[in-house]
Amino acid sequence: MRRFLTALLLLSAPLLASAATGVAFVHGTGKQTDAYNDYWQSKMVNTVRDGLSNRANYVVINCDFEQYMWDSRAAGCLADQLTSFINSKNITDMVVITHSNGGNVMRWIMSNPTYDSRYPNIISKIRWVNALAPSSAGTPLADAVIAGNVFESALGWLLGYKSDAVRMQQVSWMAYYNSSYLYGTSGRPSLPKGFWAVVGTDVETAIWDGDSYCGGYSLNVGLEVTQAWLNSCSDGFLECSSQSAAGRVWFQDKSRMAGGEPLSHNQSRRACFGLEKILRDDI
Amino acid sequence: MNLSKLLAAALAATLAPVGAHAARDAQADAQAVAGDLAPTALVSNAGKTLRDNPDQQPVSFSWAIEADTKLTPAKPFVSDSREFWTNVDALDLAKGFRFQTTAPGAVIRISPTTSVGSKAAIAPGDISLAIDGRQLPATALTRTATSAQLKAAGLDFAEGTLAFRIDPAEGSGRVALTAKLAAGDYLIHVTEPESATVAKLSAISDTAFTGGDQEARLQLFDGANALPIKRMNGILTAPDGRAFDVDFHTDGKGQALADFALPAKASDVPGLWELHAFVAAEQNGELVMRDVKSAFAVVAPIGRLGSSMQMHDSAQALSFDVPVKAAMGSRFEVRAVLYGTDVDGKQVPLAIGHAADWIDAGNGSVKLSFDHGLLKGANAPFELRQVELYDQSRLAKQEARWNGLPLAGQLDKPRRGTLAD
Repeated sequence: MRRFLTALLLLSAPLLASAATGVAFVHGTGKQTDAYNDYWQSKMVNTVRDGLSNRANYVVINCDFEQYMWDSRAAGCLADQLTSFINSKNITDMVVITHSNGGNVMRWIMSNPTYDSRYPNIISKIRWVNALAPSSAGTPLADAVIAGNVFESALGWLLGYKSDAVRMQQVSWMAYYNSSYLYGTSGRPSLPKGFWAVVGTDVETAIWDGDSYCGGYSLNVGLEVTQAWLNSCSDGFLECSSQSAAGRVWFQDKSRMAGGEPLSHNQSRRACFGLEKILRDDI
Repeated sequence: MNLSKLLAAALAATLAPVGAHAARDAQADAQAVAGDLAPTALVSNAGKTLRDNPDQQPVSFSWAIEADTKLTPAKPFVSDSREFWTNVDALDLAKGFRFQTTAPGAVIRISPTTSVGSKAAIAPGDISLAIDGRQLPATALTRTATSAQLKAAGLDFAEGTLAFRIDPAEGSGRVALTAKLAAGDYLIHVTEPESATVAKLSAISDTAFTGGDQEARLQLFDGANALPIKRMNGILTAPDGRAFDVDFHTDGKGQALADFALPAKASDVPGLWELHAFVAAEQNGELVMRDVKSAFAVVAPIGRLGSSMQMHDSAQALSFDVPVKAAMGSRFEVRAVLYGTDVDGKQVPLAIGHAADWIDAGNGSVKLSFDHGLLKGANAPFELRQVELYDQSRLAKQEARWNGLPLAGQLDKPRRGTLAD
């Protein structure tokens, strides 16, 4: 309801009558060079673009999100590409769609507007952020990937793990960043613009079930065992509590997906079960 | 509220230099809450900056806080663990590696060490399991996933990793994990998602200063009951790879405490410091193990807030000059929440403001501005609370005052009415 009222307010604003609306797709952990094909895939991006009055007003971000969120190769790169998009298309009203750790990088920009002089202009153009399965409170799986046996091993592995983004998404690390640098979590100031989470609650992988193949069956198989590491509500990578930790929950998967299907962590970035149409209709 | 920290703050106030800061400390410390942070001495050799090119432009930004936002002081984060790690070699695995589980459905990951890699990969068919001497069928290994499948799911475990869950129907107990074809060394990671045996670890402060100290609390529970700790160990690791032993001491009440000094040198590598703890207790005559860790920041104190803030009221904005004392030049940021008085006379949060600028060594200030549009009809008196100072060049929180700092000339003269009064 609040989201609806916000939209109504925006629509009634005279400024929006001449607004150039755009949409930005912000990927999750990883170094992307062709996120359009490798991360989101064409059906997702192109269906969402159908919601724009000018279908050319979109950008698919390609940055190095193996780095800490504040790094010049992460938030700095994101600020570069968003600024270029805003300037080249004269965007005045931007919907940002993030997936997974992309939500943290976006939240870094919105929570730390003075860190980079480009941030305020970006924030001012954002209508809201649709955060698909954001890792707002981290994941125990990041701890599992990083952790070795500190009491029996040489500590080289502590330095050697190549992804600072994974390191950052360990649960106690995100607790620190949420309490010191990031906004939108419980007890903290709200973000300057809305941060609306889409929460994946389960993983279904049955070889006879066609729904398990959406987004790639092989990508979903590993999520079955990783789900066992997490509590009973998870998308195989993130617990629902982490996905819901910042901003507001827009919806949980089964309440809106076709057939009441859940969205695994892999599926929440793909055109699965009508997600792409919901995002399209939101622009 | 942590009494020892408050006492330490009070002691620090008595040891602080006389003059403006001493007066400020006495006033501010009297209003201190748990989670507040204040350096007692600054250093001018904080080491290299952790940013490539800190922005040199002054930047300020403020926005309204949503009306239903409830602001609360941060509490120390408590890490939970239902898991442990251990290293085993091929001989151990061939003979059968034994460990205790406390709940059905344990998830086990076997990762070859990097020196051996995928050549030591173990296939699911090469694993045999027994619980309390009862041999389990091959179907007891469920949800098996290889390193390639885990990587596809976004988890970059070591090459040759095998993960699986023991069928919950097989129960729990003394597990024997055998792999006769094992070769090399392995890291075994056992997680028990359904276990009531939980280790908890918390660092008292989420930010500590170089050369200062930190406290931590370690506990092991079976449900709501604290278990007597039989073995424990602690290690502190810095982002740059330094490691320091940490001694925990049981207090006889089911918990272990550590109070340890931090090194004088900050890390030149970005990231948080981690306190790792191992803890074990006997349950039903068997040793149950848990590894747990917690992260916090260790920062060099190079700046502090000044004695009081000055408020200005112009036609466009309410602004505050926040003095900053810097021991060395850096880009400093001040952030604070603006409170105003609502129609019921209650102080309510209205907006949050950030401002950052480069400040050379010495005394400087940062101006926080709030456009009148953000005041939402609230009246004076206005206050800044949750005032925080950051060294943006090193991502280092320097000071945090939940109740803010005194407003010069305003404390004893609260006024009501509109800003135009």
